[in-house]
Amino acid sequence: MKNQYGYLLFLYLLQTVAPVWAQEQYKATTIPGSLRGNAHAVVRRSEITFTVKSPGEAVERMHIVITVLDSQGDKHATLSVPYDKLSKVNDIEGVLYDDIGKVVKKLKKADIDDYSASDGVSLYNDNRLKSAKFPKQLAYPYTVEFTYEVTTRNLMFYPKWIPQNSEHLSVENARFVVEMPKGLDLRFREFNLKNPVLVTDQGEKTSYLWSISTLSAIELEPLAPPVYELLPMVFTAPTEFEVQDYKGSLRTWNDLGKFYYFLNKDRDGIPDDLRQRVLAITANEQTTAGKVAKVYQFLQSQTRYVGVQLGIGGWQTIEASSVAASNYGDCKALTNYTKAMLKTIGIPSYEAVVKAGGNEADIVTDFPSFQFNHVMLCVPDGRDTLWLECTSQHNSLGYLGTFTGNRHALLILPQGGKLVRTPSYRPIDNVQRRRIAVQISDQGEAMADVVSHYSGLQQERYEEPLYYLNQPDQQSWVFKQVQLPTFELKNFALNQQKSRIPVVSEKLSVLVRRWATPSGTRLFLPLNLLSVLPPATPATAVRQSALDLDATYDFEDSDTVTYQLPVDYMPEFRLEPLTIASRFGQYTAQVLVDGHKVTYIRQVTMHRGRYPAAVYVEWVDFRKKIAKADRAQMVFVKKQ
Amino acid sequence: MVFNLYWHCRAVALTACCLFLGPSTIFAQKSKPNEPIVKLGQITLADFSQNPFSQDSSTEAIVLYERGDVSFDLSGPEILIFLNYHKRVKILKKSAYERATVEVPLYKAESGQTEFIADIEGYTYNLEGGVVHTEKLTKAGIFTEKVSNTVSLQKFTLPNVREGSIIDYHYQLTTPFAVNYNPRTWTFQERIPVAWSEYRINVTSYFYYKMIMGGYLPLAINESGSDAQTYRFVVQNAPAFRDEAYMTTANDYVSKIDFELASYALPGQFARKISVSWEDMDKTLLASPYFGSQYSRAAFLRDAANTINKTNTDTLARLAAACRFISSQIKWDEGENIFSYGIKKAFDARKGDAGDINLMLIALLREMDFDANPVILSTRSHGHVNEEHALVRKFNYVVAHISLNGKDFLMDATNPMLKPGMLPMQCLNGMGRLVLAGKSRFVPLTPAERDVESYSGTFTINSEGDITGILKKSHGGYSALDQKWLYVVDGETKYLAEVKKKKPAWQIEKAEFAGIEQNEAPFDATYTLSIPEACQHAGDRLYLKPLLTEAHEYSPFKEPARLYPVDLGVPIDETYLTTFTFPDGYQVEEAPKSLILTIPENGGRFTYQVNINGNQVQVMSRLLLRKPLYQAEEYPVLREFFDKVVAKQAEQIVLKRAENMAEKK
Repeated sequence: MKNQYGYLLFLYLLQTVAPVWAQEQYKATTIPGSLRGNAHAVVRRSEITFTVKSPGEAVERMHIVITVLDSQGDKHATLSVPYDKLSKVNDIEGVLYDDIGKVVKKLKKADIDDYSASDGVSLYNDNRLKSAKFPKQLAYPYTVEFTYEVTTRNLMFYPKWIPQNSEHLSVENARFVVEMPKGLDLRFREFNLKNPVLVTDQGEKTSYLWSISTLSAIELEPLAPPVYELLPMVFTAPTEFEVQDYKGSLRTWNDLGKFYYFLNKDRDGIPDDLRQRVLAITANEQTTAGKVAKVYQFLQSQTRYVGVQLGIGGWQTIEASSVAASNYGDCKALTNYTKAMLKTIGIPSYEAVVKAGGNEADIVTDFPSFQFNHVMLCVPDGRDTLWLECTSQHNSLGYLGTFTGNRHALLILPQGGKLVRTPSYRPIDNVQRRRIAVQISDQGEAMADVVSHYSGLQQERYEEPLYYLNQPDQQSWVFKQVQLPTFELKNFALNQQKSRIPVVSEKLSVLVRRWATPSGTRLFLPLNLLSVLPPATPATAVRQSALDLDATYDFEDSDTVTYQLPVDYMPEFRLEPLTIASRFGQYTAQVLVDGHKVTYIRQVTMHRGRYPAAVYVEWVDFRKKIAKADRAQMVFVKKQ
Repeated sequence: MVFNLYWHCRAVALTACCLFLGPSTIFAQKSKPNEPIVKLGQITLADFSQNPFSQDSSTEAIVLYERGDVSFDLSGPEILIFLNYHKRVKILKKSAYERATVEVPLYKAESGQTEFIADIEGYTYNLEGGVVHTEKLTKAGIFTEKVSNTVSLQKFTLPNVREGSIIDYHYQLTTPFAVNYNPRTWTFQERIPVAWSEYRINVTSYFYYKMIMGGYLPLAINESGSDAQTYRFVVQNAPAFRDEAYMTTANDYVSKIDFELASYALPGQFARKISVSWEDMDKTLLASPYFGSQYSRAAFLRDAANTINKTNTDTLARLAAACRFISSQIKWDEGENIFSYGIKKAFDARKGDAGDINLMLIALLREMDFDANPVILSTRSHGHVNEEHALVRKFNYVVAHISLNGKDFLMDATNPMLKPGMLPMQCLNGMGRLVLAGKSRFVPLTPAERDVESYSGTFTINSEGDITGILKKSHGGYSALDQKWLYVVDGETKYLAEVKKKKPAWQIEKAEFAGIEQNEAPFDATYTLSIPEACQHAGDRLYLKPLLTEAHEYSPFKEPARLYPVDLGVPIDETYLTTFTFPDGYQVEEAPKSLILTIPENGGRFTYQVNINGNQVQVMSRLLLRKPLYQAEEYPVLREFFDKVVAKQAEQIVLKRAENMAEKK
């Protein structure tokens, strides 16, 4: 699916015949001190005008003046204008000014490059980029001014306005104007704005104006909430639109679903030999779940992901019969193909569009618009629901994980779209369970057998070594991963048990020359070498934003380490059982000594949550206590 | 271990070797290999069972066969180079599916000619129930993407690829001379094993190419026609290429053949010489308006030269002042270059690349009556320079040279923090070429400085095991350069914030930084800090890890074996010296023993010592790695050395409260 964000983030346009702006904007000296703090660059003034001519055509104009304060702000002096077959960049102009606002250079045609904006994953898409920049400046501050205009004929997407779209960037003045022709309504959603929209009726058109001034630079803090909760923004969307002869209306999620359904319906014919094959492989299965599993297995063994992002703004699938011939396709194509195979055996299924990605915030649910970048398949099975990720050749059936789990998706039903939640994963789904048996010699040498089970979100990091690395590279990976000072790898194996909550088991045998440290009559034994949790990043200034522990903080770890010590060694002291409890979770550790057998038991349970900024100190303290407890050691003395 | 099987290859070619016409035979294996017969579009059942890499069963794919045939076409208005390319790959795992999508970059010359691809033909073979199914690549799977104004990508993807498939494809790449007069580099090795990689070239009698072999694998076939025009090279059963830590650039280690046009003579035309000997190259450079002419005279620097000479009497002081003058006048734009389009232009613009800046430095030194000359070199990420072949494009950086007391003395003015005689880390890469009329030669780019880190601490321990005191971290040589750079770019607040993030255990009360301004001085960071519960406290005892947070917790050399040298770039010198005062009534009950370790041939040394003096204990740990580069043969020693360093630095001191004190309480 076409990544429409690239599009929207950059489609900020403005009048080419701009009013002559006051000279102050080009002088670095007039920047108020409040906008300099923490900033590498300052948006002096930006004006974006989006003029909708008809449901199928709009013009965007952008005029921006940015002062760059230091070398880390250089990236803001580059202009990137994305376009594709449905949009045209009409004009790009630029001027470079020195610190006192004197013109240094005007942008020439040769300074504008034209690149393919390939996403690196797709085999082919038509996204392109015009990029304009001045030679690297070495004297700071300096100021750049750009204007450009883009005509677009893909009005599924209206702009997003994010005047402060980067860290360390302050904004002096910014305006966003949308002009709608009479009879066509604009839909919009405001975020974190002080001043609401100003609507003026201008006869033939209605104008919507947002403006903002004096935004100090921000610095994103660790574990902060998603930016859209912090930054002023406006999302806009059409009510009626046209794209390549397809008409759509968009007021509700139901409307959006209808459009997608209409765009992609009747593209699910498959050849008869494939139909026979699907019937044959599912013949012995009695249940829907069983049949779906067979079809999914067949899909995973026969097809592969190759992105060819073309057709109605990247939102229309190629025919299922084409996939049957080549056995490859993008997310739309492979999902449609799977749906087609299920249809031949009488199992109805529905596409679900979603904003996929481990670091993506959920869609804004109260603003129906094209916020998605991926599609998967949803199969109702009685009271149960099966989710199929059709682009992966090794995914477990029904497991969505950090890629598409725990968020909203829009189910595409024939009667329209319906917003649903994808599965989320609880701490007991995301487990790390480790059993370690260690034989220690009086020289501190250890033979250790480590058996670990990782489930749910915690097993995802093992998929890459499991499915993508060969044996020597897997071993190198082990040497980087395993937190032992130095060791010899005797044995290593990874396996995945596929299920709705997949489990990876890892077996590791290592010879560690110095697990314990001998010194004179003593033997120092660190109790927990392999499951250490790092401390949190300490706050270096007063915390501003809330503490947001996301879904990956829903987890449970448990370790049992059994040490077999050499004879004649006695513990020098006892370690009391330890419990560290907090609102974020709980940590317990205890040591049991039975002759020469020492058992260390550690358990950590954490949960996700949102806390006020002031609580961050508590979080750091909690993680510091855990980090210290994880360094616990026992000391043994040799009997004389 | 798997790679032991290939160790015999190493001995064959430690340095890159040369094949220059009358090909050498030093690579050729004794026994003649079995030559495969492979035809595009034709496959047999036996081909599916072929796996010469049974020892590497975990590989995602194998190149069964790869062949390139290069020829020239002189019949048209411009010279064309053809590459007929054929490749056959067996896909063993799903992770190799991306290998069924092929991308060939096509370049465009400034004069407008472009490379192009013709005759794309591809097949996928699948074995189902003992029968081979063949699927042909169709137009639907072929795309061209215009990446930029000068580069396009020809892409195609083969159909019906799954685990066990064999893909087989061919294309012809045409390169006009205007785009490149050298055939593309041929790489015999990939990140997957290659069973057979064959390269043939017919250079015709009009062209005179240098062929340069690189890498560590032997040639199975190395033949040339009696006319010295046709060549054939084969590498058989090349193992998958793997990156190792501490490498310069992978390109220096992979097995390949490179071409450089030395001269050509077309019928009815005069011979055109491109490059031949080092002496030729030196002459060309010296005569170049962008090189030799730049620094031969520079009137605009004369006043500055006179002032420097007047205000400084000592030679070293003059050199330092010259470097300081250039680096303060001209900002480096981080560009690497050996040429300058005009040092005067750069001087007026107050900015420039390495070529502008250091040729200007040479010009200034000459105005100061030094016999200064350029040394051209290749930076670490640009790859090693082969002393057998004079190739200008293998160089990407230039520095200034003078002879000081009979020794080579190198200077670089791109970074104001460098002291004279010291080159940036990126420049420490084998040999450089000193260019001067009649007396050009190679000079070693050995580091004049080490990476020095020295810690000294004075701490007091209380009876709870908390420690408080002062830790001074002094960075010298290359370490100082790195830290000063960070400090200047980030500013003090951010630099300190980063320290706090890296050392969460430290509670820093005060931090002071010194030495930033002077190039000669180390960068000193002095922290007044406390570390709560630094010692474990149990009963009457305190257990102290004397290196605190500064020990090497993990060995950097955990991997059991190594194929390529460990290239650290600079020698390393790390010292840790700390005095702890322990609480009243405590005594040392047990302390680690002293230790001295050495690496043979003066390669390195580790010393560790604990001295007890009343209620104080002093700990000293010093780690010296004297060589910038350790050969793969030395790896086991280096690994063993680090194992022991890590173990020693983990040892602890036991402090015990005296009996009588305990009773009193």
